[in-house]
Amino acid sequence: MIAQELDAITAAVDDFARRAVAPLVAQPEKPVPAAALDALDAGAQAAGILPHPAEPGWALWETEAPVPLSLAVLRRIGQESAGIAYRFHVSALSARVARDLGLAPAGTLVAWEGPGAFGKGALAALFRGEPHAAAADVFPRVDHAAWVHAAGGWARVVVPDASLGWRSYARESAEVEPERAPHGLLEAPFVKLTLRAEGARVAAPAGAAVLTRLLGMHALGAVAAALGAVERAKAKALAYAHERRQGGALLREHAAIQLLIADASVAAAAVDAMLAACDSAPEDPAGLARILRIRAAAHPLLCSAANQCLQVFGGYGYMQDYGMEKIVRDCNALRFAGASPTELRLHAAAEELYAWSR
Amino acid sequence: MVALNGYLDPSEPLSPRSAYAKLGVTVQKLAGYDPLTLWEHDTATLPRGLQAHRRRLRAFAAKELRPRSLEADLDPHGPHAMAVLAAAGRAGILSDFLPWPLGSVSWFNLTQPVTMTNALKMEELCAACGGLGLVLGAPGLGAAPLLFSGEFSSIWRHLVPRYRACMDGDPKVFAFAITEPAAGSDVEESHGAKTYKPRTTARRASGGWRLTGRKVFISGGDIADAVTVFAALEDEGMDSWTCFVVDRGMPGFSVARTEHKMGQRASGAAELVFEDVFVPDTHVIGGLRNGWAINRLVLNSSRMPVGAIALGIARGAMESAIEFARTHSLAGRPLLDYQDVQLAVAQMMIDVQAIRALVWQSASHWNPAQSRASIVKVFSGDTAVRVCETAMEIMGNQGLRHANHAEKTFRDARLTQIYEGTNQINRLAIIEDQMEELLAEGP
Repeated sequence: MIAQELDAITAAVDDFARRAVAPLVAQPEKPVPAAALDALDAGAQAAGILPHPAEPGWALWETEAPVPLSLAVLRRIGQESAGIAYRFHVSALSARVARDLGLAPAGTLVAWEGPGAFGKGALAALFRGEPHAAAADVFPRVDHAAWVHAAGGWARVVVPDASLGWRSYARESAEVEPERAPHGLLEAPFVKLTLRAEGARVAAPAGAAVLTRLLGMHALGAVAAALGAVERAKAKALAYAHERRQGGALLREHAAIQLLIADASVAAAAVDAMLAACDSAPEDPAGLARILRIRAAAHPLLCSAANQCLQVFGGYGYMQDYGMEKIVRDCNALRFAGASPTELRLHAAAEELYAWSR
Repeated sequence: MVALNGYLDPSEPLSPRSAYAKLGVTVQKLAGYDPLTLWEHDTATLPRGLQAHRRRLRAFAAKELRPRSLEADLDPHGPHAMAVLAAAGRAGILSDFLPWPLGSVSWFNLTQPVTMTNALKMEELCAACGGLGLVLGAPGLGAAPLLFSGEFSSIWRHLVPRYRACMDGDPKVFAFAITEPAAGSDVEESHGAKTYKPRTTARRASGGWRLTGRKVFISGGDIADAVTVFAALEDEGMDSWTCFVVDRGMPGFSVARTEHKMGQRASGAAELVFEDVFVPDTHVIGGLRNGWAINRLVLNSSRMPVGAIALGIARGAMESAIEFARTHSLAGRPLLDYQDVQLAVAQMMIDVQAIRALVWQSASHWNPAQSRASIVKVFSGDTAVRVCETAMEIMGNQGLRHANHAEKTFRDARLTQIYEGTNQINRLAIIEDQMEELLAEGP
């Protein structure tokens, strides 16, 4: 992709973020109506941000789109709303997985979050082709409830299984129960998914590679969305520190405030550097483990950064209409989406211990 | 009993339970080895009166607060706050700063520091629900200026009748109003107060004063029967701050709005408007121009209970996480069977016990010294937030679910780092209080 094309895409994303996303989330204390989110999805598709089912291009997570471009898109959208960024992220990942499996992307949701997350090393064992007691709990399976983010309209869900193959389930064969009041990411519906009948196996010889790529892209995208949210939080905190007075001086003149902002800056800079080192999706378990280590480090840093920015506002930061507390909740939710930092660390440790023993 | 994975069953000879049982009775007592819960261990260290107090509050919270906790969080303007206030009033929980017959404190407990009884109360209430706990705790904050005024006439006139109403199940409570739209930290620390020009003022009128201004983020301000509000005398500065009692229903007093908060939602944070409200001279509390001193005393006395609030919320988070780990499984084994979960649970226990040790040690003194109160508040709030994050971590993505309580505890705990002075302001309050020591030469 040449520089001018990159600049044009970046400008288009920036324009979409300001023109279409920002107005929807201008009142953070009010949830965005579902119809408005659906319309936003359509607008994002028309703008080339979300993949078009019939016209492949450089949309989010498409094969030809460089990973840094997708991360930049999610980061920019995340600056307006981490929830909308994550909604686009899940939607785009679903389309990518569908294409990789030879399925039609329209109306397909990918759901890999089982009740046991990464199974405390079970996923690492699965990639090695070894048995593990927790293998069955890693992915959603029949008659076992799993909690997943399910963005947009979908008629089919594709799910990996313990053999690292994939199965396809019609929506009618699943029970879907929305979470009443999720902690964050309200714009990316969080649902209880219970599959009730075994799905059809998808003929895809590179199923493990599809899963590896999915988990790596998901991890990087979640971090990018959170980084964008923290950048927004920092911008708001800086602006507030320049206008609010305390003790006869502007907040910016107090070391206590400077240190809060510095903490957020340091965290954002560290995560930015981590992401900059990731220019491709992983093609093997070792590459995936490297990305998951980054994610395990990044999210706690970003959550702390968001909290420090909220603290600059004092009591106002705690009120919903200032938007700071939503950023904190969204960052928390991104931290636990898919797998918690502890699960990521256990997975990385399992990989590392196995590699060393060889 | 079935042991956790990696641990011996208590019946095994090498388990400490079995091994200690072979020693003499006296040695067993010295070893202090008794398989009680941590809660029972801690309760047993208290004087008998406080043990009973703690048990009573725990039972009350389990019955009245916990069942309402989740719904009250989702429906903050619903009936839950008034329902628990009525129940608490009848149970004597809203009138426990004065001895019977003026209030509900038993004469047997009069030797116990109020700071301690209050800390025990707030922990138990907030372990069940941070928001409803604040609903029941904020009235004490509102009444505190009256108690610190040292004026029996003010207490008799304004507090005792309301205490009696509470005990009759008709909750008439106070709210404490200091924060102004342009001043949060500035009304909580001296240096800021010196530079701040107060916007809520009192103008002299015949037989009283006329109050004008606004107060924001007032806990329980939406449901209070009366407000202890601080205003500067007209044309004077913060050093003229004076405390007034404004009764609900006084012409010119209104509740403009209640905020949409991140957490502790069951308790409203109200914006109060005073438009030329006439308050008679009998509603001046503690004398003219003594409001700043009273305010600082109240803050010192309230920061320690915030530590107890944080402790309760952290304990609630820990209990929710343990319950989740006990009832959810991986590969057919409860999560509690996994060492990484055990490590996280142990860390939560460590943190909760550390907060409690600091709160109880500080609350056992009658005088809530500024630095001591701020130390408690800062440590407790920061540690509580960390405990709540750990609780969410144990639950994985189910930690995002409202029904599992952990995400609510995070939202509730977060406020303890902000109200009663941000933890940054409280750190500076420690320095202010210890300034002589810091500047002195040598030990």
